[in-house]
Amino acid sequence: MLDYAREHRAKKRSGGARVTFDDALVVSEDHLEDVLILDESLQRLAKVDPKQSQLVELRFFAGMTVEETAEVMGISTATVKREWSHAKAWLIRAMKAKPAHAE
Amino acid sequence: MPNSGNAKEFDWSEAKRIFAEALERSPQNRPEYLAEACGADSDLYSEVVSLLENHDQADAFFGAGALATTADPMVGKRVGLYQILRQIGLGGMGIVYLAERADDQFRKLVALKAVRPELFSDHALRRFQNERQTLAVLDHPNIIKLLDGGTTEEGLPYLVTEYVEGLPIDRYCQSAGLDVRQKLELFYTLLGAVHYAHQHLVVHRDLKPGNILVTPAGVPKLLDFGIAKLLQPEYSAHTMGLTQSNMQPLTPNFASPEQITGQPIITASDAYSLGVILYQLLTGHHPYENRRHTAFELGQAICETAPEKPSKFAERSEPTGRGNARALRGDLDTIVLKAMRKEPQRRYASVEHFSEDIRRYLKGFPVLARDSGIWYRTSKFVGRHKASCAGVALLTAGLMVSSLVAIVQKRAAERRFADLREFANFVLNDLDLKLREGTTPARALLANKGVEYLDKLAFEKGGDHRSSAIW
Repeated sequence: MLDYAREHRAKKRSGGARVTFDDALVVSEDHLEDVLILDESLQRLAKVDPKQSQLVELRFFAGMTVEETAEVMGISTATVKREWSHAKAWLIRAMKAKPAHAE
Repeated sequence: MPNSGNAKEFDWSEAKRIFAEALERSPQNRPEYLAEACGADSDLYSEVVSLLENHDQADAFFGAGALATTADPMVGKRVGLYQILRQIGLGGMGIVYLAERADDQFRKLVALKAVRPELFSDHALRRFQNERQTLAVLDHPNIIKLLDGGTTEEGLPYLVTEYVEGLPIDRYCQSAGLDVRQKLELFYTLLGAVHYAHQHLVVHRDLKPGNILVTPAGVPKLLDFGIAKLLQPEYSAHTMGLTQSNMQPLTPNFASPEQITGQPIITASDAYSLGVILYQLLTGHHPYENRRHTAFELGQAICETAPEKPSKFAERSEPTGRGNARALRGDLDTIVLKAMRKEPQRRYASVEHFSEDIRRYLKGFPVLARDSGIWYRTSKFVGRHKASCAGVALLTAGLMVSSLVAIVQKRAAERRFADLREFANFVLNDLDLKLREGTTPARALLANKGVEYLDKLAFEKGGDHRSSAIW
């Protein structure tokens, strides 16, 4: 999906009008820019806390439930919920700190 | 662990713990708790406070879980028997929601697809009905099942299918780290589903990795028959509008040359798309990935440029991974390129033939796409029967060695025979002459022995012999 978001950004710059998606998972266009900034913030999070960043990927990008995430990562659901809350707040703050891309 | 997010120094896991604890308390109790938990550590304190400040906004952005899209009035609504939970996909014509049966005791998740209201038109309606009819015809474990359908209060048609959690086939192969063989086995299953659809006179027409989901258990599921075409005459009236050239797939990455040029779509068109998918699965790259700057350029490549052999492509794109290129060289190159021929009639005659070749390859039989020279067939035979062929080879070698030994021995025996004969003749002729001067009894004995010996030799040789001629 991020590839698509990047592709989309590239297309926007080159003046392409419409973008369609190959995939079942699709984001509305308004969110694309957010998703890109989120990805960049997520990469920063990965440097500080790789496990938490992996959790975000599973939960948010792969769309897994708390239970599924817990199973995949081999941690308790309570831990998933705690880490998820923290990651969300951390990422939002990071995203706000980073100005949106100049288009 | 020190935080590297900013210049402040605090314990990362401690910050996470205090943040979580604070969240469990009511907002008015938090300051007191934070003061106590952080003590004199002002960096830790300000970190947690700032996280808490962002917490509410975070929920708005991230939603309950997976990626939220812009507010959709459908979410939370009840449609027919189904409660809509969230948007999970947005296609050209419809929005796909995750929903659950509202009247069920047990939570059964389904996918509910509705026409995008802003795109609602006769055309969209036809396409929707088309998909519904198509799916109703098909019942196969690797094809997404139609469960229900109807019209919303607003008059928008919807259809309900089983909900598949999975990854598009290309990403699944990557994330599961499948090797060539496993990829082919998965692909073989997929071909079975496509062949089944073809047998029911349904051409998918939009096969691409995004329409083939693989469940965590490794089961491929074919979905999105949105622009499928029914070849059955009684349905053709419904589908006629969809065969117009403006109904080309929106993404031509996996479209066949005849789809690009607006010629009739047949089952071989699906075979072509499958060939491109297999190409991508095996090499990790789209065959025309360098020609995708514009749809026009891509269309041109699809119609005019012969794809590079998958093995060549793999070798070029990953010089370190030679093993992959070696696995693809030969049969798999041939199979993929046969499926991807520009002219439909030169492709596999049907997806069944395609899948038969994959099966043959997996079992080590000669693939039908290849010109069957004797050497190729022999090498395939040997490959299939490695153990028995090794046995036969060993046996042959053994026989050859023993024959050689026999020949050598025979030669030696003959040589010995010749030597003996020579010796006997010497005794009887030359030596006899020397001994004539005296010692008569000795001469007699020698002569007798010599004759006896020669007789024996003559008998063994079984024929009249030069040695006997001296008498």
